[in-house]
Amino acid sequence: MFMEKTQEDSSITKQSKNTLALELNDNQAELLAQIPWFNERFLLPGEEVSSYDLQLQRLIDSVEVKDALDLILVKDIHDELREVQRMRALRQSVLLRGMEGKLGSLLSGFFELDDNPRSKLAFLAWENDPEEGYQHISKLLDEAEITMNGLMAEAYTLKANTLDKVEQQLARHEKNVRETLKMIDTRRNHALVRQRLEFDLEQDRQQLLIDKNDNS
Amino acid sequence: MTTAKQLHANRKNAQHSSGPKTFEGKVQSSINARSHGLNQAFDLLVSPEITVLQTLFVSDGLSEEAAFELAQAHCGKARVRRARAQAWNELETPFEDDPDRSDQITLAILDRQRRLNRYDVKAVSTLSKLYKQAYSIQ
Repeated sequence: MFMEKTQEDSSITKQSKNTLALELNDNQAELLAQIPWFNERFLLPGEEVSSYDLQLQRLIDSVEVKDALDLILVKDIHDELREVQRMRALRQSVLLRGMEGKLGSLLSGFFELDDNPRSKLAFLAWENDPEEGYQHISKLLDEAEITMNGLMAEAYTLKANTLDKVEQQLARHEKNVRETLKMIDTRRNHALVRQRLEFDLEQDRQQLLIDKNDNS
Repeated sequence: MTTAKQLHANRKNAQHSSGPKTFEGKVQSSINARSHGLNQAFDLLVSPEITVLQTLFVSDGLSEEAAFELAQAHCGKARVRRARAQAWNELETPFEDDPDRSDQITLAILDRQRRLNRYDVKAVSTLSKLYKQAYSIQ
């Protein structure tokens, strides 16, 4: 499907190309190859080509892509979903930073320190090993006499402005996904009605022929 | 009524602000109105994919005109997508050790993405409208 070939192309990528080759006829595949933005993967540093292709292939399978125009819309949905994932990761990092900062300041209040690095270390440990890190955080939460939910609520309040902006962006991309899915549906419904009309016409024609034969 | 003295002063002052003088300055000012180009009309020479897409839509049973409009709208959406990717890539990753710096980068990313929303809304609503028109069941 994609024209550019990179060394990072995995077997899954190759598999996706083979599957698509079965779905599209040569003419359509040739036309798609001439659309630069269709053959472009919009990746950020650190994002992998193989993961991008695998997710796209899964989407293609679940939507049951029929032709090149379907494929263009599905690629669009895929890119929107990647934006959704990025925004969710951003939201997660903002929330964790908020929790870390709030816990640090609560602990500092007990020990009269300007900054308490133990919360930072506990959250770092959580990133590396969630189970062990959670135990560290639980100890600190007990010290600060606050629950995890309480801490999360405090973090939400602290970062409300940023989180609100993230939510707005998320809503934008999710809406784009819904709209693009509707476009696929519109095309398919149209094709279905067209097929049914042609079928009905053909049946009428055959009935006419039968009637003519009977009369003669 | 402008007096001769005022006219002379205006002409003299205009000499101080008659645009860029150096080559670099002229190049810069020539692209002032085109910082992202998301509002620019498509040129078939620069974007031949419009014709390619048009062919695909025509083979799907649409008229030449409807196919052309849909092809253009798809390219418009792709242009916004590219601008979004560029906006992400221009900034470093927000997941770093310094929380204040990370917050600043996060806000900068969100601000850049938010500025592109109006073009995104326009592109998607145009596409949506054209699909409904072109594939309406009558």
